[in-house]
Amino acid sequence: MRAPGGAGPTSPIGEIVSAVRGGAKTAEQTAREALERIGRREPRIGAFLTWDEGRVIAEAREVDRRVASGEDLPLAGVMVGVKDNMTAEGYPASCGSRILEGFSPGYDATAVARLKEAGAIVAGKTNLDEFAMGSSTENSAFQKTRNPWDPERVPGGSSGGSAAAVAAREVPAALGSDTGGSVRQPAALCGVVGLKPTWGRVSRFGLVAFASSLDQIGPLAASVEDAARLYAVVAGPDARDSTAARVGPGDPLGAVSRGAKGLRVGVLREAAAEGADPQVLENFSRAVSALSAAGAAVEEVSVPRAPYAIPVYYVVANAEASSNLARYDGIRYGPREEADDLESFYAAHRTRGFGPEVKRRILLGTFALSAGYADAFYKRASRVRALLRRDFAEAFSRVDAIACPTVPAPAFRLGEKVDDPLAMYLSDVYTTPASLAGIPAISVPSGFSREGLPLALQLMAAPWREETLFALSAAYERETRFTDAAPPIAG
Amino acid sequence: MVPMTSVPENPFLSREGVERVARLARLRLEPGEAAELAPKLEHILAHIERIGEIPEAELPEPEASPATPLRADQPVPGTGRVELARNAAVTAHGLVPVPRVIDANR
Repeated sequence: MRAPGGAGPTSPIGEIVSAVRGGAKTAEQTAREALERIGRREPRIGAFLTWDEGRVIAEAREVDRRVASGEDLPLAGVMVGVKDNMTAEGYPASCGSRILEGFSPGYDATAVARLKEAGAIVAGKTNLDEFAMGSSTENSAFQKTRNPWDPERVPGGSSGGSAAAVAAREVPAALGSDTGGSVRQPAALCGVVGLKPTWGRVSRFGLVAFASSLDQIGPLAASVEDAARLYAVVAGPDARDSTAARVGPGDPLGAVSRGAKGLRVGVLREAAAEGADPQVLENFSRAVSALSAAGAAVEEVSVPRAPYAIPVYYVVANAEASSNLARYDGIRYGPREEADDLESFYAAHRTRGFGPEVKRRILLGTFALSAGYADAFYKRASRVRALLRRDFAEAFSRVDAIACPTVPAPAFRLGEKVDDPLAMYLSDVYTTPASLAGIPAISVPSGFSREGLPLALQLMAAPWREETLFALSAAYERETRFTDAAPPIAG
Repeated sequence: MVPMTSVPENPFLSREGVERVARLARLRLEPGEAAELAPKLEHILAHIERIGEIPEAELPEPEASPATPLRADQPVPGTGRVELARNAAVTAHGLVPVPRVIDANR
């Protein structure tokens, strides 16, 4: 099946950078064009929570000055959306939560600072599920974000604003964060590329913590090459984050043109048993054929405990969230509540500031860590997680990558799952295994459902093997050209 | 299923149980909210209890997190009190006031 919609270049970012560095266009011109697109499309999409035209133009002029002075900027003039759970100087960082309304951190996250250093311009802060907890971006306290392919449907989540902004071609790229699939799942539902790097590959300095053993920053872009361009800039060690590994990004752009020949891809045996929409499985079957046609050697592989990933994830992530979110006590920032004593002050502030899904997860996490229950829930979940890691290690002794769909169904309707949290959680059935194992995974568009909604292929690799993912997904992209498609709003 | 022999009764079966966990989490539930939350939490917990299906003998001990490298313990300029207090809703004498923590009658 060929993609509907208009065709686009393989690397919109490459074109922008060439134009700005070659003098055909200024960074200010590219920034003004992007601002015009944002202004025109945002009323129908709602991807951004904030943007600041004055700051964007000032940053763009600085990029032009640096280009003129001969600096070699790999992302010169590239407008990038930043998920609002990362800090960027001059912008608020609300995390989509009332509890952080008006909070302005005043410094750049390391990933943001590296993008700027490379010549990128922060376009604004994108919408998300509150504290990145959700799969539809409907848990944002501030606004709904709509899927550019069908405005009655969700963009996925929690990085739904970042995915929608790229899909609607408001900006060529965005940063998201992925704890259980929050880059890959919205990328899949919006028809763009999304990468969750290996845990520890990208510094989390300036990323607001949700579940620290899982959180990872990753790029979203219109093509594999563009995702690699962002990744090459943000990955690497950072003295400000002791969990950022002392490993460089390697050669992601070289990997993009390397091809799939000689790579072994394992088709996840458990993929079919997850209650997926039949058309997702049909689409996946065609994706496997395309990988084979691109030169990969395909065989079946099993990760026997993958079906336990959702229950394990919702113990581990909620337990860590209940601990991380204990810091929101209302003393040093956020709207002030009045109370007679400190305990009442905390409770009043947190009750008023957190939305229903965040409260639900804090309750579940507090329970999983509470006396009498921690062994049966948190400790047992941690042991199943260790088993799942072993399963993956065993599988990667046989294959270079594991393939499965990214999502069990195409984008659902706004409001369809808000009253059924478990149904919402099951949207992450294919993405949580890689999160728990700490391994890299990429989502790449794989065609469309009968309703014309994007579907996606997920590829996972052993830790630190992002290059394998770039090589395979770029080869798949060249074979299928599904990333050429853009929704009508981008036309 | 999770071996529940040594585990107290599941707290989300009752409104009181939800309220108990909410107190631990420093959350206050509105009237009726605990009763509304209980079945949803139960539903999620029933799914989570699938982790009990894997036989005990197959489970390894949790992996210890690898030690993270430490940077040199050298003082560097910090953000500064004025900048840090910028986000506080209320300040007094350069400090952030909090409700009374010591009972004045004692």
